[in-house]
Amino acid sequence: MESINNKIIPKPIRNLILAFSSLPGVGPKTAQRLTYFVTQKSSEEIETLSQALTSVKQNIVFCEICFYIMENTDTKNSRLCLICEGDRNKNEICIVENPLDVIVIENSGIYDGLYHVLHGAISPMNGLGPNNLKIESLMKRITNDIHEIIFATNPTMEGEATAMYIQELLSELKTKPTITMLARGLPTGADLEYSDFSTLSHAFENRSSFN
Amino acid sequence: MTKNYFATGIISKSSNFGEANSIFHLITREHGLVRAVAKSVRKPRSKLKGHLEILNQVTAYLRKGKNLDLITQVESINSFNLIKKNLKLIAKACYITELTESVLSENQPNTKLFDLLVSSLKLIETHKKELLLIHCFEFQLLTLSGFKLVFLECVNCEKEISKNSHVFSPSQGGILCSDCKKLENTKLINLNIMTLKILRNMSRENFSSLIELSPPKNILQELSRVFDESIRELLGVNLNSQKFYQTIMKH
Repeated sequence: MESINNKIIPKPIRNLILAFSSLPGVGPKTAQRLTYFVTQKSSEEIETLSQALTSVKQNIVFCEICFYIMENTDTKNSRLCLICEGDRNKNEICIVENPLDVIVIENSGIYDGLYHVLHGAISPMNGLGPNNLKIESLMKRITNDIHEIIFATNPTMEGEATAMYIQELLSELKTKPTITMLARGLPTGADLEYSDFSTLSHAFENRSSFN
Repeated sequence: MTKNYFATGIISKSSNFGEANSIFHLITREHGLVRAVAKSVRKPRSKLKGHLEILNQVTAYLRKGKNLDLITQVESINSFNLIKKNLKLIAKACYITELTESVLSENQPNTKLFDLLVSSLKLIETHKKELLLIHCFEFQLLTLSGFKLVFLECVNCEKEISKNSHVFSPSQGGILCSDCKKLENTKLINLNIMTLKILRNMSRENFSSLIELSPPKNILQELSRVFDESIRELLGVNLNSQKFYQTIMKH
């Protein structure tokens, strides 16, 4: 960051480098490259970029039910996303960590139920606990109409800890829905030789009939 | 250190970096704390991904980098799978791992502390109902970091403690005699005689006998206060996992 504090660099440039550096995965060098790229662009192009950035914050809200991202239009009174409003199987809820996970599952076209976006996973080392996630609102959604809860959290320690925590809460309910989890095991195209013990044990535990 | 090296370590933290890379923190036996990048590790077909899971004990092969080192190969030694199937055990394991990381520095190995962490993780995995393991770990970690808590005599004047004086000073890191207690103006904790007996057994390193004990709730709360306050005062750390640990234990 030494170069950013350098007085030779004009203040607007320094500010933009610092702003880019705050983005995930962007280090000081990349931030500098992006800044100089911006300076070379025409005013119209920069205006389009800045408008796109501002409108993301102004025009994107979270669905009141599933917390997936949706466009904020003044004409609509309810804040429900297209998935919650649509003609879907309303007896199933798929729990995911982030809105991007919904997009991936939707693109695959293999699931037609509802979602619940937690906006993160329990991560003790990073100070993310159950209170930081949309777990309370999930519990309020679970009525007798919900027949199945599908955990589609990431197959990491954080993802599994989140699933375990919610599963404990669900076990306290009077009418318990069926709880399932996406299969864990070897990915398509992987080499068995390089697989670790944890993946291999999951693959053996979840092996399916091949008749 | 040569350009390529290997290290045996426990993975304590990970964060995303770039399109599909991650930065991992490894508590290693040979090099202290190591921060290194694993490239393309978030892609489903990554050969490193399965091994680079938080709380895994691994042998990592690394290459020295300009800022961060690069993980080139990794092999799991122990994945502590039984810990990862139980939320309370995850909370305990994360707490002791983050506590260890907080006292380590890069390129300053502490082999005894590393061995203590590994043996404690193994005990957490096998002794599910063990109540004093975390406090035994905290006591030993403070000792190995140069802050041995004193429970056998007065921490200030080294005089023998009278039967009626059971006062612990977190900032001094030990119990005080009746004379020194009057001079102390920082926060003090009054100890139950049973709490003091447990702490004295820790000082005598009778850890195996302590593991079998099941003290009542009030004694456990007092012990938690002694160690929480001591860690805050002596090490000056605030741990992210501590709040989660306390939430899960109450649940």
